[in-house]
Amino acid sequence: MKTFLIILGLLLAAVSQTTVLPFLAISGIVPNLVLVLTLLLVIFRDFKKTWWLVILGGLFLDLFSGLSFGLIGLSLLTTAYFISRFNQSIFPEAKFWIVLFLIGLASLFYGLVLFGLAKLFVFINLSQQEIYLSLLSLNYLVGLLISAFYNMAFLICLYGIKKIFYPASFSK
Amino acid sequence: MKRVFSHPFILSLLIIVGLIFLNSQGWLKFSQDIFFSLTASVQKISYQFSSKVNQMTGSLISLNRLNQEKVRLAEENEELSSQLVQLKEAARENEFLRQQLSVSSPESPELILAGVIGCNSSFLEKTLLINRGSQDGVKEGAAVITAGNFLVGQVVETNNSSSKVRLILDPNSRVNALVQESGVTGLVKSNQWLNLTIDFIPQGENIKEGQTVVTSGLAGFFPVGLFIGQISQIISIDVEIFQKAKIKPAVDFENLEKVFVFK
Repeated sequence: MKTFLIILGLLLAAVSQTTVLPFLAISGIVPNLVLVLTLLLVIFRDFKKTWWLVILGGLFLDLFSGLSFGLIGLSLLTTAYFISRFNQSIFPEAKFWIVLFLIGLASLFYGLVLFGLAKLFVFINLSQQEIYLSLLSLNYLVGLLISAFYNMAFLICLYGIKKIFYPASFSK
Repeated sequence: MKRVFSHPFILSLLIIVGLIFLNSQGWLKFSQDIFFSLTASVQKISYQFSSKVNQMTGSLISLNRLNQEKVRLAEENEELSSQLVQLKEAARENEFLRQQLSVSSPESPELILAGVIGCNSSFLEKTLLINRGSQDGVKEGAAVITAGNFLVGQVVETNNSSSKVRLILDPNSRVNALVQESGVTGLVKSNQWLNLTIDFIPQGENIKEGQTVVTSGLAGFFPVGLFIGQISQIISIDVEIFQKAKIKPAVDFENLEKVFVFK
């Protein structure tokens, strides 16, 4: 039942991201609800137990996105794995401020990976959509920062639901 | 070898790569159609509700500007009425000349009315989801407009009952355009700050604020004459070969509910 609720939560998050959150955009950037929820899952429940939910979250975003299919899924997967390993290596305990930092770091990492994979997809002809943005442009870098801060702000709002995902027995 | 493939990350990677391959062969089309059929109604309700709330809060916030807006609109209305009279006269002369020269009028394009049911906004894309798809005659590459021939974007993906439209605000969107008053051509592009600029205008070309920017029809991606916006600021640096100008978009992208797709 809990698994079903998590899947439903991810789907509703993906739907909300395309129907509600665009009206909360700052300079055209909205918080990535699915990214935040997926990262909460891997931080509190470990990547080995939640990898398939990461795939599902990425799949939902890919279906709604206008970018090439699989781009967001691969970016989300890579980010989730990186954050999971980083968290386990460095931090003994998942306190709120650590989670907040991880979400911010993940948002930046996700943006860079997404950009890199988008360029790769064009290079290997998996995508017909040319990417004109430059990674080093001020616009792009500032956009990444806004995205990171917005996701962190959203985490603060969502912090109350941490208890649903955080198993009572989890501790390091 | 078995240990490598049983690692969660490697396994996930293989699954996603497999899905990408299946999608490239078109084998996921049916599943995608079912998914969008199931979620479309929820998306539509959610989007329309959010849009209404956004409009209400926008109205409340701008209450104090209503009087100024009223005066500005009244002046604009007078100017447009005067232009309308001139345009009607030009249209009448045009029709008369066509009859004299036995030249037929261009056919009006067939349009498909679609409702906006979602929007994707990030630093890498700006797309809309609409509730019309291939079964309604929507094709990839079709131009999308609002009432008044204002350019919204281009269809990039179609499913059975829904489609994705890349907006002209998308950072990777490029539109061949011209300044209507002078005929100067350029390229309209966007950054992620919801700004449009027309670029590659040769230095020395006389462009002014308030001039109209429309599609030029070059490269064949968009029909000619679709209204993009008006020049709001000119950016010209002497040492550069080209000058550019900021454009105020004609479309209110934050309150988009209905669009038309060229068939």
